[in-house]
Amino acid sequence: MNARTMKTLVSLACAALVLALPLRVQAQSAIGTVVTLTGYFLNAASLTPVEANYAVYDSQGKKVGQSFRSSATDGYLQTGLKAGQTYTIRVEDPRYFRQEFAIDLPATSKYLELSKDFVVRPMEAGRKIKVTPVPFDVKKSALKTGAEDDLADLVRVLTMNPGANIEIVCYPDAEGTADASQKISQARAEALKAHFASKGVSAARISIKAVTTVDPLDPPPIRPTAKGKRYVGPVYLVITKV
Amino acid sequence: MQMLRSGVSMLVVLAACAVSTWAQQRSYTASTIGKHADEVLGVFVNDANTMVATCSLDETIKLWSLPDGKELRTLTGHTAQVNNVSFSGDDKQLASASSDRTIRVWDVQTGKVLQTMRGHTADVIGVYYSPVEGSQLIASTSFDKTVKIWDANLGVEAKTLRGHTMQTNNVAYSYDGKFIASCSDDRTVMIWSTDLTKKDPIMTLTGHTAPVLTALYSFDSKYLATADERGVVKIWSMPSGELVRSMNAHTDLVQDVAFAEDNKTLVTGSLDKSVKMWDLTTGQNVMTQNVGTEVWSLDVTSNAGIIILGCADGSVRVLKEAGSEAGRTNRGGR
Repeated sequence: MNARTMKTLVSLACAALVLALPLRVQAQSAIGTVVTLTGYFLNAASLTPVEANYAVYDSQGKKVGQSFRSSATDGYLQTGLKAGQTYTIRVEDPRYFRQEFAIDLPATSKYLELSKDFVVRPMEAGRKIKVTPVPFDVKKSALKTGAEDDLADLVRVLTMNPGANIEIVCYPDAEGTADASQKISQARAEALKAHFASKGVSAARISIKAVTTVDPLDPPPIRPTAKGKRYVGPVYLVITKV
Repeated sequence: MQMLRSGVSMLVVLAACAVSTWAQQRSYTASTIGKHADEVLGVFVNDANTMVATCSLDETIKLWSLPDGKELRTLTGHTAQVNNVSFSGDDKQLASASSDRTIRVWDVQTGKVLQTMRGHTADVIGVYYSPVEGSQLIASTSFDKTVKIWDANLGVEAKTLRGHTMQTNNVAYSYDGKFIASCSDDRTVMIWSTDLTKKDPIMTLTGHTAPVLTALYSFDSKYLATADERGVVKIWSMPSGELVRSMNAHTDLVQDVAFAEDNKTLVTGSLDKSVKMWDLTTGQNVMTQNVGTEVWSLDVTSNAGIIILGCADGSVRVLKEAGSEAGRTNRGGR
């Protein structure tokens, strides 16, 4: 092979590389970066993992793939989604309240794995849903600052499930006189009912119960408790009709 | 004559012992630098020893200057009590953990919220910024039993560590950046790798007989101090996990401990209303101070010349050692 032939071959190889490069970039861009979403479905009452049927919708409301089911053994879910996109995970299972969870994926050019847990609420008459965090401060009956955010999920659940009626049950913070306990429990229950009504939940679906004794299932602690464990009277939503 | 010599020798030895013990005692003067509207749950001194952050049941975080204790700024935004705070390694950011289930990242200079990170399904109790230079990873613990690692740059959850069987109470990075220690109501302490590809604990430290409320590495990462609801403090050799010392340090729960940068001085605070200082090489109590109110949290300047206390009566108090400067010694630090 003489020098001229060698030069020609090298030139051809370079030209082929230059032509191939944009094709490769286009192919990568078409595939897009995949973000793997992993997590667990958890029972709201016990925070134990549960099996649940769910579907994924994109920002246009179009269903992505088929319906899915979390693991029957440990509630685990895993799904691949596109970076930079917004999705909605919708619980579509008659055993649970209809619920939606927004997933906003960061725009990234690198593979990313995100972890998120989904708390679902069993759909049964008589079932008690504990409102956590308690939307009141100690000894106060007004909704605490930011409680609206904490209650937004419950409001969504109630508006997405118009056939369900509830009773708001409030307990006092400590043993006290019946009058004082009645006053604060009643005021808290009314405040919560008013909040739900203001968010579009029909007041006719909501009854209230003011308890004057401390919650026997979750009584105030006797000894000083550790950080974060300060006691506030529990609040429950009891499902009265499904 | 011989008996006299022996007697004199014994007296000399006893006197030497007494002098030695006396010399090891440290003396502090207490004062109050300010107040929150409710109980003070967390205290964290920055790396430069120029600022301390406190957080409270009143849902706020306050920044105070050191050593003068002047209130600099109040950070508001959390919608429930703030349980813990932690400065980033470069002191520019502050992470906070709240019962509103979020971790917030604040710009220390402006007081603005940079990130609000959601993902825990219960109160967030512990938070710790990675001390590694340039790292933006934050570890958190929650009553949802998990330990989560967050990327403060992206504001997203990077990993969830599962293993504790009950609520997790506090978390700490080792200063070499290799490990994370978490403690729980399940009475264990778990050691995790900071390698995000690893999901199982490296080891589980057992021996506490009550919920373990806090864990903290020494600056050289060779010791881990843990404390529980019965007032017991344990010192572990790391990374072996061998128990070095167990002390019945207090008569009520110990929510917080702090190491000085000499890696042998530990300060503990308790709901029994006392603050104690320990020499870990001997196990000797070198200072006890009754502060008259329950102590939720504390931290120290690098040389332990100033101890800052977060108290149940809402006060932020300082214990200052006579003649001590706030600054660090020449041994580095956080």
